[in-house]
Amino acid sequence: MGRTARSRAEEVGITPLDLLDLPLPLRKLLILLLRRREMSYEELQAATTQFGPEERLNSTELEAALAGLMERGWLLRQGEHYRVHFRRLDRHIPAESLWRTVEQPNPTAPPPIDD
Amino acid sequence: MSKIISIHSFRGGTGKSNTTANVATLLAMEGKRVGVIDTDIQSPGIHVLFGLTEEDMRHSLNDYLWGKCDIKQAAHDVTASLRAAIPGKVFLIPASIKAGEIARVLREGYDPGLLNDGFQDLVEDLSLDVLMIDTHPGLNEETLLSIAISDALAVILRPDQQDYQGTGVTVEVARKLGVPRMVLVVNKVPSSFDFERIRAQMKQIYNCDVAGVMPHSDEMMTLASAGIFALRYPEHPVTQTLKEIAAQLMA
Repeated sequence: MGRTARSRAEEVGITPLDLLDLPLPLRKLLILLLRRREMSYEELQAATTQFGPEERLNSTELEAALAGLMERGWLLRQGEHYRVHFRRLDRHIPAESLWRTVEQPNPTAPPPIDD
Repeated sequence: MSKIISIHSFRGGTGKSNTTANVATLLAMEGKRVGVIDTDIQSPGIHVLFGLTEEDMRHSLNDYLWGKCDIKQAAHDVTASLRAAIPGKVFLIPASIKAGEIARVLREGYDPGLLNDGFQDLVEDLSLDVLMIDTHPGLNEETLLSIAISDALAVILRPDQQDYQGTGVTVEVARKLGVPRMVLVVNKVPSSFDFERIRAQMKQIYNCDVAGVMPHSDEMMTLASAGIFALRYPEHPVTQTLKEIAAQLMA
């Protein structure tokens, strides 16, 4: 059985699992963006003022949060709008027997040796 | 306003797909336009309940995730196949049942952003009142995404110690993701159990509303996912509970 040797550091973007590790205000912000797909800064500012006391971000905090998320590659800015940027989900490479069963070439198998 | 509802359980075999299909049908019988998307890409199955065969599937969720089609092209109007007076609509977005295509998803993965776009596009393009997401059991990236973007979440469990423990994990994660409404559904309960006591215990243990306590049903087992239970047995106690669950999820 093989596994794709690809470190997370080489991939840019957030995964759904990363959402759980975010501080509450950032988590709430990104989930809001996920539901709306894209939002302008003004829309985000208006929406975050409606958050609860523990989740609310003032303008300075919001700008810093957006900048930090963009620096990590978790947020993209397209024109006037922000959008969540996901990393492509890594997948487990199944065993050789499964590939044979479904008649697919195993991408991790070594090449055949020529006689 | 449209609602996105996820149906989830920590463990398999709890009745997610049956609950999803039945609640979707009951909502359509109220005149709603309902989408059902099978995000259990590794082990798809809800298409069976709607009588959609592999040959019927023009496109699947897999095709959309691979960029072969728009999400709307993967939506199959299965309303007529239900053979009942349904003023609303049921659209099914199936996951592929072809072994090679399941293996391809396992091998290549996919972009969760595309899946999220698909959810939102379905609601808009099909003018859905409700989008129901049938999820893979357990905590994984797909279910986390589904829960995060849902307006309501039904967590299904059986009266079983493994389910109890796993449900605690799921409820905690769902609260962290801030899902606006979460309900529990206790399924496959033996007739010898005190249903009201179970309801009260679950509510106390998980601090979560219980939308329904469904009895184990020989009729459901015999039907064996060959159709929509609520249509076959409209007066059955399970169907009455499914109606309550539907109402709770739309509240």
